[in-house]
Amino acid sequence: MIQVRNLRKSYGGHTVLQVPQLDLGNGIYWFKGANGSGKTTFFRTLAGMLPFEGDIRLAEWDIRRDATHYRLHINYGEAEPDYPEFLTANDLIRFVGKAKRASDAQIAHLIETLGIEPFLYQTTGTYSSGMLKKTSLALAFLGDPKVIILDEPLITIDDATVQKVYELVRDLYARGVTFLLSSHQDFLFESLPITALYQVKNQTITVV
Amino acid sequence: MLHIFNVLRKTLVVEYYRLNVGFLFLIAMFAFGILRPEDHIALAAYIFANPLLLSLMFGLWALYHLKITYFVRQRLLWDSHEFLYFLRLLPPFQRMLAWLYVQWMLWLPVMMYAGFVGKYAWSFGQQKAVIATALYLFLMPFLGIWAYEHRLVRPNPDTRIKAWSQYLNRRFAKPYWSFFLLYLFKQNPVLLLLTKVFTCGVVVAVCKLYPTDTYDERLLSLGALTVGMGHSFMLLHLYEFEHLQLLTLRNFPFTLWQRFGQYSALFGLLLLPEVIFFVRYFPQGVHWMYGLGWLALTMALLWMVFGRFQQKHYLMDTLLRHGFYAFIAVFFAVMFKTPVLILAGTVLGLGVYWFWRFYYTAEYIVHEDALRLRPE
Repeated sequence: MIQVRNLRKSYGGHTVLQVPQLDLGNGIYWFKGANGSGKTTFFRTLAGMLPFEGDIRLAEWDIRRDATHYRLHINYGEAEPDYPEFLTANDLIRFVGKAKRASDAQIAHLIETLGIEPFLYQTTGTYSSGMLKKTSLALAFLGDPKVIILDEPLITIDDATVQKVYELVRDLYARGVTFLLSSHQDFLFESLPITALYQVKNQTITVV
Repeated sequence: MLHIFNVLRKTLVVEYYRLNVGFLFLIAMFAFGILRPEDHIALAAYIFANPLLLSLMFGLWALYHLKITYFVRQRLLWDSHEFLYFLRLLPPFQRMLAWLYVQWMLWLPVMMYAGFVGKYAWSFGQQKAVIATALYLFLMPFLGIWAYEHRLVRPNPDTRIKAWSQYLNRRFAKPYWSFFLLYLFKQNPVLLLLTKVFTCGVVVAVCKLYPTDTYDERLLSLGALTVGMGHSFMLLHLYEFEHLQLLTLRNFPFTLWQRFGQYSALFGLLLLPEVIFFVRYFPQGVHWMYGLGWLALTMALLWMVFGRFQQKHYLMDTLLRHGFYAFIAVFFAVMFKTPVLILAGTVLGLGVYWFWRFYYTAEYIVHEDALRLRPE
């Protein structure tokens, strides 16, 4: 599903992440690592949001040569989402939904499942961190992706929403979607059928 | 009291000048690079003798005053600057002195320039106008003090959403092209106002100046150049806005052609006021084909600046220095009578090449600290 070869991500000449080879088939993958270990950098790189050296492929699509198809099939949910404060969740969901080719039914389902309706038309500048997180989760599930990356998906949301996220992940996984999840805590994803656990540490990624 | 001045100097005054060194550099280059000191003196004599022109000058300075006041008020909203609310605990007189110190330090460039031209105006016998100017310069900072006091006693501005805004939010989802325009209106109104006053003023000025002498179309092209490069700050804000608050755009399955179309539409909207003024004051005797070329050149310059940001990330303080070199290069191309359509095509080609080549490799570096290795 995802092939990473000779990935090197650096800032100003300093290498922050180096992954010589990583192959991920269909599954649910858990990436653990301390704060600042490079999980977010790795995820953003996979999502096509950051430049890097090396090669990344998703199924038959190369991140550079097939930039549009690649991005249509990989979604990313931010760990600490930050949106323009004058936009509403509705603005963001409609915008991303259109780009990711989501149906109205899917949009309505996600809004209901994640409990976004009460603040759907409020501007994000008035949101709590939990409301922002729910919005970012909804955006990450939009469309028909083959891979969904969720960076610290359970922080700041209430227990009821945590259960909903588990259900969404299980449901989509059963339909063939691969998940890459991250957390710096040990207990969060125990109720999910984790395929493999990876440790992000010392500027690289190793299987545990 | 010295400790208070010291903190205000470090947090507001030094920061303002650090962030605006490029802006002030450009103003200085325009003011003293194009006009010689004796031209300034002649201009001063003319302006101080004419109440209308003097009030126009006051208007320009008022815009600068708005810029500095807005800067400080915005800083007071930053979490990192919350400690400045302790100023409320100072006796009113000391607080006023503290704000006056800030305001005068930020107002210094205007006072220095006014002092320079005022000295000559006085010697030309324009004492009344000079006294009026001195009073204006002295009193203006008190408006700033009032604005800071207002913020100090209202640390968290009311963010209730107006009924009509709620209705619109429910009725319509905002389209992508409106995101940056809303950002400008809501989060950077001073930048928007200053840019548009300046660029629309340039358009009107060159169009009105054109028939008064033996100018050729190069004068209008120089206007287009000033308008295009005058949007550099705004485009840097666009670049930053999308990298910091809409980074997810890069994860969207848009082709580069689609992105090119989206940005072109946005640039067209940004330039709408200038286009309206250009059409309204279009000088007689200029061929309409040249008018199209003028529009193309203006748009192409926006693309060139934006494309350059994709290739190389600029911090605010280095932007205008580099922008000035680009300005000079295009300035010479215009002065050597390069046909406007060829110039527009070349500039657009360069911008689009940079955009195509570097869009996915562009990265926003917030601060030098971001380049350091983080501990495990």
